[in-house]
Amino acid sequence: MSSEAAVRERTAALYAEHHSWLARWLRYRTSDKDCAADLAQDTFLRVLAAKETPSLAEPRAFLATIARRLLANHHRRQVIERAYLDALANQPEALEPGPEIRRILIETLCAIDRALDALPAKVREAFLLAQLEGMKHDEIAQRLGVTPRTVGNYMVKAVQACFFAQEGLA
Amino acid sequence: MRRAGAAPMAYAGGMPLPAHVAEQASRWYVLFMSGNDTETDRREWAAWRLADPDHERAWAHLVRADGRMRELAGTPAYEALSVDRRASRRRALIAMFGLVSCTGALLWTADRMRWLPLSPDHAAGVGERGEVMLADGTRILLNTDSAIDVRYDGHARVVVLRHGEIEIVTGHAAGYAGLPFRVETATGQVRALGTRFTMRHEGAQTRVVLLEGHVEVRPNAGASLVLQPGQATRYRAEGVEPARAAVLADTAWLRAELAADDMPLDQFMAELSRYRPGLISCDAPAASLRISGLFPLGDTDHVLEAVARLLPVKVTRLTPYWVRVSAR
Repeated sequence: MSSEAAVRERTAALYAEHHSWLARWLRYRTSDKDCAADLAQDTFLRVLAAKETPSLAEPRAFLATIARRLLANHHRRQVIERAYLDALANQPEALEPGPEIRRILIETLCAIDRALDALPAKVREAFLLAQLEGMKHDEIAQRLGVTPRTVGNYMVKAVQACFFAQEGLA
Repeated sequence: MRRAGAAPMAYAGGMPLPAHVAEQASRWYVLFMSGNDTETDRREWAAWRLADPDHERAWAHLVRADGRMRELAGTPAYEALSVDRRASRRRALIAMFGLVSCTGALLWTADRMRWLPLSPDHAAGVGERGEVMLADGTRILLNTDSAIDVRYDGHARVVVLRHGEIEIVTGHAAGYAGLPFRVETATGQVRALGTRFTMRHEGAQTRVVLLEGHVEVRPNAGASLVLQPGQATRYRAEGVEPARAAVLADTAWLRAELAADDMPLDQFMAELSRYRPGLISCDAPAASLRISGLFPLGDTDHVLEAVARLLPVKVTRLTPYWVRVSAR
């Protein structure tokens, strides 16, 4: 049997045995029933997409690990989405991207957010000010109370983390 | 989820890249962005890119990533990414705590899955073309450096033009014909009915050329416009331009040609550079020269040679990826 077929089979067994438990586990942690069902589905999709499933001593801990991550991403995405749409509504120009474009933009925002997640606050701030607000290094230096040279170092760090992340922008 | 202890790994286009190469590329990028680069820097940068295929790959990746970032730039994106992170961090910590008993391989696997939904459904690289046949019989031709997503459901057929240029011939397969068909960009949408048309995403504006049938162009704001066959227009978020007659230059790409009619040379080079990786730069005296003709895009080096014959210019290849055109 090919390893892919083996993974499919193991995932099917995992699904049969633990899906309703996982759905309950997720429903307990989100107020939204549909969202819990979606996340349960996504969890198994990820198990399936991972080409190698280790043999599991603790299958429920394994599933809960993936589900927790999805849940955290889901909450974070909602926060970002709300902030983005609010900010968009406050723009003077009539910028109202269609729903699909909006979805892509929000996905990109979330990818950037995760890529920058581990960086110190000032590094992140310097990067966002330069990239999204178009501020010059000197202005950023003043705003953050550091030297322009430090801003340069911050930028290199952030560019490396953001543009060369695994789930990069390109 | 971090791979604790290990050096941060770098990726370009989903493929691993040595971390020190990513750092070097990032340094060049930041230097050029700061505007403090000198002639010496630019020479060293060119040599660096040439020194190793990984360097060039890293640079090409940065340029693409920068392009995606530009599409997003603006205060709304800044505000969205500046929202308080404490609540999310707390959740991340809880998640980390739950991970303690899991293996490293498992963490890596869960991590790797995250980038998958970000890639477009269909894409053509620089210098490539692609053709896509959809479930309803719609055929889409992708020009160089183009990407689309396809969202068909029970209510509508939606194609998202992320970037680049496409030709669409709508299909009428049973079960789909009654569903509205539209192409979305960040600044508006084009609704089609039994038709053949092309669209090109050019930064803040999108060009639409109608070849057959009818389309309605609807910018995010302002009145919409119905095109007749043989007409073309451009739209931005705030409105659509009056229709004009389509010209050869609008559709030459469908035959893999570049059409120029008294076109400034810098604009011509900008067009040509869409079809080859790297950079073509024009000095100011060369930029204002004008060129006319129909140029096959199969081999862009040949086009550069032809330009050097047609006009009083010198074409210098600083690297395979950086061509300089200067007045003789």
